[in-house]
Amino acid sequence: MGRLKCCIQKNRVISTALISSIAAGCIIILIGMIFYKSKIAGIAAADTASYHKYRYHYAIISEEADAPFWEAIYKGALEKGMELDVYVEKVGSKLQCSYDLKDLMKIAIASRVDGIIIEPNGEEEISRLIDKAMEVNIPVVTVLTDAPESKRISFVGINSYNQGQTYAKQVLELVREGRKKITVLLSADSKDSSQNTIYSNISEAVSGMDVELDYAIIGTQNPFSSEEDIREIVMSWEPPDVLVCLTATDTRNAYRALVDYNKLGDITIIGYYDEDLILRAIEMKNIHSTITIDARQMGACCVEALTEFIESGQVSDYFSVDISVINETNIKEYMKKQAD
Amino acid sequence: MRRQGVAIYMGDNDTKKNMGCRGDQVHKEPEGLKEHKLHNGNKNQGLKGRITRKGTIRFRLVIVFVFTTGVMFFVNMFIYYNINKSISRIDEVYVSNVGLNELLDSLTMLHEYVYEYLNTKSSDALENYYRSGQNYRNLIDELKGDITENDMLIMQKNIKNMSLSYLSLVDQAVDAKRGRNIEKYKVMFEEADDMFDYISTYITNLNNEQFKYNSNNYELLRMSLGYLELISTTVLLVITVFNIILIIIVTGSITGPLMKLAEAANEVAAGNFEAGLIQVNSSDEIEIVTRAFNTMTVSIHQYILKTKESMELESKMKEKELMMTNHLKDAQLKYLQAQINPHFLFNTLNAGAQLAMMEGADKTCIFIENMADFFRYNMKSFEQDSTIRDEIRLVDNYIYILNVRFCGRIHFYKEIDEGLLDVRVPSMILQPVVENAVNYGIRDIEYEGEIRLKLYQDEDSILITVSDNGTGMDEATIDRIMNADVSKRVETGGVHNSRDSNGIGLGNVISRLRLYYDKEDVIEIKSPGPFMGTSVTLRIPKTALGPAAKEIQGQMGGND
Repeated sequence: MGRLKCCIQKNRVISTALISSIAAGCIIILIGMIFYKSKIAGIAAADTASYHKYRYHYAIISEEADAPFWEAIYKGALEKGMELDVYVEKVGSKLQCSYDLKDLMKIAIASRVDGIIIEPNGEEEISRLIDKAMEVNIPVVTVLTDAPESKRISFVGINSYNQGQTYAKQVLELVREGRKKITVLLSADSKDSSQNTIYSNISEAVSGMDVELDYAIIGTQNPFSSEEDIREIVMSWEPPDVLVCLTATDTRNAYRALVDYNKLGDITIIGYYDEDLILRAIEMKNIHSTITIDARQMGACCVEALTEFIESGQVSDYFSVDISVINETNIKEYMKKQAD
Repeated sequence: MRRQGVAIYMGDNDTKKNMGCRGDQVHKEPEGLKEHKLHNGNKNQGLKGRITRKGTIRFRLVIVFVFTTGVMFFVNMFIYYNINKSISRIDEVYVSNVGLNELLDSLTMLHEYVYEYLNTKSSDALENYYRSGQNYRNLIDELKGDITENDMLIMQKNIKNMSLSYLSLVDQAVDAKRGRNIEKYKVMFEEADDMFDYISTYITNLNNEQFKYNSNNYELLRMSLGYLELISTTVLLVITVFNIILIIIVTGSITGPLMKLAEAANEVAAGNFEAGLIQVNSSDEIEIVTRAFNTMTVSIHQYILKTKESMELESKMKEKELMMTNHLKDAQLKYLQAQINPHFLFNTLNAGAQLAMMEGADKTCIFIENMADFFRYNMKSFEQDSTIRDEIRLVDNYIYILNVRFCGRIHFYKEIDEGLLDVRVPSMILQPVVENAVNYGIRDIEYEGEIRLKLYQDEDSILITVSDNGTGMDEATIDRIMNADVSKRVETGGVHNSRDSNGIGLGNVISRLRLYYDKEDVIEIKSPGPFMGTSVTLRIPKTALGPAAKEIQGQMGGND
């Protein structure tokens, strides 16, 4: 009996060794496999990964799609889209070559998206393409600037009159401070009437005062023309006391020019939009104030309008977006809100 | 010749004796050893059966090698599996680029055919256009058209939809061309050309995006291959270590008992049989070998013990033989000392007898004749066995001579069982006893001395009692006579060699009888007390003569 037990014990040692090494081997291999799997999990072909599928596909088209202002509009549209199960694509932003607005429009139509958000540049061709899109059942919403003669379903923008009034108020504030020479920077290629409306508002406000109101046309032919033109104004023999900028790009360029040529004390700016650079400048009292609109709200509004049209067949013709003024009195509060 | 024959006989006897001894020894084998042997035998049988089933060295080695090889194979399979997986991942990653290039080529070809047809209106170009159009359709069918937040997938969707738009445009253009609507086909083709440009840009772009993404993947893959190498090496190393440990354990279980066995063998070689026995329980071939070794050790030990014993016995026998020869030589020497010139003595005695007869002195004549007979018997029969009858006659002669010498003072009475007279006994055993009775019993007594000789038998012995009515013996003397050492007896025999003795003595008789019959109680001496006489009884066994007696007979013959 004892012998048998001993024999079993001896074999038990060997079998224990066998089993434990098998177990250890399996565990090691398993651990290795899991480790390896986790390491290569990130590697997958683009189309093998699973994504959420959206109901609708909207295209957002703009010539300055990568500008911060447009980024904000796009962001607002995208966020609203997520909410409504819609994907908003910024057409042309990922392409190597940059297409002009009508090419982008053509691409959007050919891509058979479910809706188009466009900032028309006033060209007739764009209006024609908007009509063409509507023909193939792609609703179009114009944003910021309108194409009133086209068949677009809705316009989301700022009321130019209100905007002009706001600008006028800011100019008057500066005039009261003793500034006399005011130059309004107008975009060269803008064919809509909003700039004119703003300018006439300001001119009305200062009429009868000892104020020299002027305007300068800022070129948009190439990315640097705006900068050059503003520089020329700043470096002229009699530079203005106040620069009124109607676009974010102009505001940025004007501010840079003032910094570069050390004119910060001599010239002040009424800017447009709430870029970080501009906000910081207001904080340092280098820029008097900036007129801003809620770009995100604008983007969200476009998506809402398109979806509403697709689903109900009709939508309001015009959506207005709030205008606000940021100056040194409310800058802290605004920035805090932004940070939140 | 005779000597040779005897020698051969003796040798034969020797072997027989040895064989006999060995046989005895086998039976006398210690119980423990016997048991051990039996036990071993049983175990070996049982073990063999078990070993054939499991636990053999071969089985163990096969298991270990199969296992280690299997594990190594498994690990290699694991490594190759992962490598293959990685490679297929790489393939998967780049197949999308390959597909896009194909798509672009197909689109370019389609566009060229369309342009060619619109230019030449040849049926070949039309056919090519249809074929490549179908091909392109098939290719774009594979593209995904889902709306997702993934840029590449959105691009795919856009490419797909634009391609469909493009296809419808070129279809319209071709239809217009066939319908000779020049205005329309021109416009359509211009639009299609733009579209072609967009699609190409998109495809190139998507290709770039995918390439970027894939390059990123490639980096990850490279990294994962590095990890794979590391993991595989670790796994291989650990498994190897495990295998080595396993092999060490298993080979240890095989070689351990072997080392023990070798140590035990060395112990046995050094003569330590006790330490040679080892316990094994490996239940394999080694156990068989070890058990065989144990059995062998025990057997060798037993054999050595047996040989030692038989050698001891043999030397004892040799000693005995030597002693017996010594006694005989001693007796002979004493006899020869007593005998000056027997022939001269006989002749003289015969002459004396004749002279007495001539002178008419009959008594003297008888006396001399008796004396002559006495000495002749001594001469003749000392060296060989005689019968009780001859022995008694010798006593008669002796008594007669003594009675002549001592004027008939000894009264000799016999009480004989006639049937026992022809029993053979060693010569010269009775006369020394009677002589002893005369010399120490009745010589110095004042009254009439009597000697009685009685021959009778009981169940297993023939008894010859010589009793006297003389001075008797005290216990110490009896003890001394009975237990005196043979060699001492020889010496003392010389001291007691008095005038009236033939020089043999009682001690010699006792020794010879003991050697002859290989028995201790051949003689019994009793004495009731001082002056109450002594009685000496010789006890001759009835059984056939023992081997010692036979041998002595033979030897005496050989020494003749």
